[in-house]
Formats: sequence, structure tokens, C-alpha cells
Amino acid sequence: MIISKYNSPLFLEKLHKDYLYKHGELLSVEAGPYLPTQAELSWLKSFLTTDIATSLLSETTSQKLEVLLKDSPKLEWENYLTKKQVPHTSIPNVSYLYLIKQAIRENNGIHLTYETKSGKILSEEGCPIEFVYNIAKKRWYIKWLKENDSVMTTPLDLIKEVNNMKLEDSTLIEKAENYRWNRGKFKKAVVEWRPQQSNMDIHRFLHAFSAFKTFLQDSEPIAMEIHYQKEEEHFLLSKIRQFGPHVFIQSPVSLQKAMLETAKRAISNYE
Amino acid sequence: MKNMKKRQELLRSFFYDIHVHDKDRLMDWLGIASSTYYKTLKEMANLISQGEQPKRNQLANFVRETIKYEPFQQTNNLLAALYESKTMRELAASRYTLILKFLQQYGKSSRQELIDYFNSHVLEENQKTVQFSESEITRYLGDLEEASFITRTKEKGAQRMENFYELQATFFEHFSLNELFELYTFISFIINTEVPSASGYPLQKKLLSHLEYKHDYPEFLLNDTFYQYPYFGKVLDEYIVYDLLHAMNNNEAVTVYYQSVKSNRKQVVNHQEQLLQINFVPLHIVFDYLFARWYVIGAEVNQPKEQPLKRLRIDFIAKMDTHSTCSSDDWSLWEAQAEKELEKPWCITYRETTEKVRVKFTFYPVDQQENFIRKRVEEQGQWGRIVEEIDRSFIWEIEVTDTSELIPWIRSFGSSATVLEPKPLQEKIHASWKETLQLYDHLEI
Repeated sequence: MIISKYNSPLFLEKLHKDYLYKHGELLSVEAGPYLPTQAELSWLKSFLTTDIATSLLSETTSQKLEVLLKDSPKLEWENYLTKKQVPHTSIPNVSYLYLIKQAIRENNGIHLTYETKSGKILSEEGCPIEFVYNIAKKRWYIKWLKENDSVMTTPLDLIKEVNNMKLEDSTLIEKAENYRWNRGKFKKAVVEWRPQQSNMDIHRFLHAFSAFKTFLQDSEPIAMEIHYQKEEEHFLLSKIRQFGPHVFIQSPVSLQKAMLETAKRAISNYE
Repeated sequence: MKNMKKRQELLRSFFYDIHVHDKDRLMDWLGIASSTYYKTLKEMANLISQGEQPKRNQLANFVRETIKYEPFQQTNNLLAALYESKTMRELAASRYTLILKFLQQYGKSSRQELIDYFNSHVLEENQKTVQFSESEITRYLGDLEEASFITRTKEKGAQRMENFYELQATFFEHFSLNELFELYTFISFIINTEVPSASGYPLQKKLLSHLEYKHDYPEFLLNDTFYQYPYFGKVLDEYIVYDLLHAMNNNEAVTVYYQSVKSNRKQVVNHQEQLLQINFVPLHIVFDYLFARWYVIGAEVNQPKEQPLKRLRIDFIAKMDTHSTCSSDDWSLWEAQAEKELEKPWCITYRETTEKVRVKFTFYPVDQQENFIRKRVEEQGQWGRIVEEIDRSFIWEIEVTDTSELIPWIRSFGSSATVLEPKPLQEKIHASWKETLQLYDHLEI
């Protein structure tokens, strides 16, 4: 084993015994995976009273955390921090979340009973691929592969019942795994930053699209290539719309058309 | 903090692609010299990757490619590595750490065994075996025991009764495997969806290491959730947020070195003499989710009471020092003022009067789509309320101090949102759609 070069004996000798106590917090960071720092525990404690904890932690885990964090100071930010324009977190019943997670970990299949958009109740079997939590919509989805190879996306709150089951066809597991690494085709859009005042902050533009794969082109005016999937088109358009005329869609034509139609309809609302 | 600022701004540039293909332009944008550029890049490369480090001329490419967000593939926010930089060097130097690591690796060990471990490892720096004296090691063990990191028991050794040492049961060891999975889901959910999140990243990392080391559970088996639209960049400014929270908890005033927002260059990491120096009592932090922007509201020291409070953008704070403690009377007065000034802004701007905004929202359903317009308005509309409903439309009202702050949000709804009042806001939105139309109307599409 090679020890870090910072473990030089000369350096170490400079450390006073008090270091351990004054910087016990720091020591624990380097001590490996087992010792969370006081700051980290305080952070964790400050989220224990939230709805997220109620939804995602079982009673036993919550109680253990409560006991273990009893002496940790709570990170006091609630009184000093206001979050503006943050969508309220609403977590539906996620009782099936851990059951499906277990199926994914153990390469099992699932028997799923769920409600469709039209209110139909279906009961089907397949292989779970992954969860998607859409932060913009605040909604959990499970992506799963049906025996006929079609990829399904089912909102977790529409699931009525789940049972884990052994899969006889192991090729379904392989296909599910392959799906995670091969997402199909991405579309490309190019948008242009057209600030009306020279001091308009470009970070707003950069941030707005940073949840996509992007490439900022070295051009004047500044343009950005954005990779997106078909089902993300509505979200991408809403991001572009918030800039009004300050962001221009160079391509594709389909997004230009959508923006043109929106502008026409929006104007007609005022005339 | 100065080094942190350099790392933060360099990471920001590489994450968002700002001038990263032109080193000179980037250095100009940030106000840093070539030596600082390479030194900081090297530090960042060290932090975000444990593997072999790239050569000097490949550093920029390496950092760019590593931290660039890759949807559907990337689950780690590498920007959070910023928060490891503060302490790693100091910590790695601790000999106490080595004892803890030996005990993790070898389990319960006698003092003599620990001495042997120390003497059988080679220090990379000088490539020679370093001898540690028994008394030194005994002293370190005593310190660790006193600080409750390890426990000592006297047991029969190979020849005689000896002192044996082992690690105290640590935080994660109190949980069963299934409970650790729950904890992992909980922490991952928070760091991806909430602020503040910076402290959660190293905690998650430790939990993952624990699962791998203690339970033989590799990380990839836990990567079962893709968080869509996580906006990793929001973590970049949090380290200043924590310092400000600390000052607020202690009613402290701070000296802030601030880059004017009007300036069109970043230049926040250098040229202290060009920065505004503000003695400031921080009172409240505002996080604007739409643009992931942090603000701090506070009073300038000696500011007349009737003046509105000052608003600073946290990403423009280059440096911050402790200034003085604020008297509790002053603090209470300022705090009440901050509360009042934050009651009605849609985002951050304060004016003494408010204006009513009325917007008609209309939902155009496709297939059996749920009414996501209403859902969005209810979720994001802060204290606004729906006052009237007509078929697929509803009227939403809100009183705000600065109506222009609502513009991006209203525009994002497209033709589903029509401003009814006030007139000036209606005209602005109408004009903005006319300008948008002009951008596309002449195209042959």
C-alpha cells in the first residue's frame, strides 16, 4: 500500500495533539467511509422533519436516525432561507418504490397492476429497468420492459399492486440492461442568445438548458447545441419560451414552427 | 476562500462551456493569470478523479469532458467535488487517519501489530520506509481513544496480556442493509432535488464506500434512479451560503468583497482593489429556483433604518471576512425589516407598494392529458390564488412588488397565459410575443 504523499513525517510532527480535538470534524472526513462529519450529520438531521423523510424512510430507519442524531446540532437554515419559484415537493405513495428497487437489484421481474391514463386497470409482467424522477414534474416513474420488448413508462402513483417474481427469460434482463446504455436517438436543436442589453446575464441562458446535454458554440452571437429526446420537446420549448425574443431557435424547423404558432396564438389573446 | 473562488469559477466555466476553447479569453473573463489557470485546473483534476492525472496540455480537455453533464448516464454531480478541496490536503496529512485506516483494513489489532503496519508501508514522498517510535504510536492511540474514535481492550496476545484496539461502531454500522438502501435513496433524493445540498454529496459518497467495503455492494447496483433535470450547477455557490448561514446564526456582520452586477465580465477571482468592499449584516438568503441564483439580503453596517436593505448576488461575492458582531437590538430590527421586504416580491426586488397581477390561464388538452397548466400554477404560483374558473380557463391573481419579475414565468406558459392586468405588464408581454413572432415570421417554415 502506498500512503499519500501528504503523510510526510516532517509534516506530521507539526501537528499538535490538540489538532485531533479542534479538527475532529476534519479528521473524520479523511478517516474513510465510516465517519460522517458533524456538518454532514447536521445537514441530514435538518431534513428528517420534512415530507421527504416521511415518504422515503421507514419508521425503524427514522427512529434510528433520530436516536443517532440526537446530539448533532441541526443545521439552522430554515429561518434564514427562502426558496422562490420552487415547485412544492409532493411525493406520492412510494410504498412500491423499495419493492421494485429490490427487483432491479436482484435481477427479478415484476408483476404490475396499474391504472392507465384512461382509467383502465391493467395487470402485466415485465422486467424493471430504472426509476425516473422528473424534478420539473415532481413525479416518479418506473421504466419497465414488457415481454413483447416494448418499454413502458408508468407513473408510480398509478401503480395499484406489485409482486416480484423470478424471470424465466433471462434475455429480458439483458435487454433491460442494454436499454440503460442505449437510449435511442437524440434530437438536436441549436438556440441563439440574443440579449437586448449588452449586460444581460448569460448565466440565465446557460443555466436554463444545463439539464440537457449541450455544447456552447464558439460563435457570435453565442449559440448552443442542445441534445434532447422527443418526449422532452415540451419541456425544452417551455425553457426557450421563458426568454421570449432573447433566445432564437436556429434549428430544427419543427421547434421554430411550434414557437411561431405559440407566438401567433399568444398575440391573438391580446387582440 | 480565494482559492475556492478560483476553483468555483473555473468549474462554472467548464460546466457551462464559457470560453473553454480559448484559454486566453477564459483567463480574461475570470481575471486570472496563466499559472493560476494551470494550478487550479490541476487541483480540480485531482479532486474529480482518483486515476492517473493528465498532462498539462490535456488538463483542460480532461476537466471539460469529465464534468460536462451527460443526461441518462451521469448520476454523480462532480461539481460537488469543490467541497472536498477545502480539507483534503490538511486531512491527508494526519497520522491519526492512518491508524483509523489500518483498523478499518485489518480489524481489531494489538499495539505491536499497528507498529508493524506503520513500518511496513512506504511513504510515496521520499520513497523510504519511515520508522515510527513506539511511544509516538502509543500517544496517537491514546488520543484516538480519548476522542472516542477507537476502543481499547486488554486481551491475551501471543505471549502475554496486550492492549487491542478497534474502531468504534460508526454511524452507518447501526443500520441493516435494507435500511442503508433507504438512507441512500433518501440522501440521493435530497441532493438532487433540494437546497442546500453540498453536505449531502460527501455523505452519500461515504455511505457508498461503506456499502461497498462492508457489504460488498458495488455502487452500480444502486444506480437505479435517473433524476431528470437535476441542474447540477446549483451546488456551485453553496459554500458561501454556508458561511453566510454561520454568520447569521451568530448575528455577525461580514465584510464582503463584491463584483458589481453591472459589469459584463466575471473577473471575480482577482483584482481585489477593483471590488466593492461592503460591511454587511447578512439577514436572509433567497434561492431563485428558476435561474438557480442565490441572493443574500442584509443591511450595510451604519445604514439608516429607513433605507431598504441591500441585495447581493452570492455568485458575485469574491471574498468574505468576519467584521463584527451585531447587537441583538439592531439584529431584531433588521430581521423584521428583511421579513417585511421579502413578503411580496415574486423573487427578490422590493418596493414599498404592491401591484395586483391577474392572469388568465387556459388549458388545451391533448388526448386524455391531465390539466398540467393548473398543476404548474398551483405548484409554482407562490401565494397567488385562483379566483375564478371558466370551462378550461381560470383566473389567477397575485400581489407583488415588482411585476417584471414574473415575466419569464408567464412567458414559459406560451399562449396558455394571458395577462389581464396591470396594463404595463400586459403590454410588455404582448410586445415580447410580437418580437418573438418577428424572429420566425419571415422564415420559410
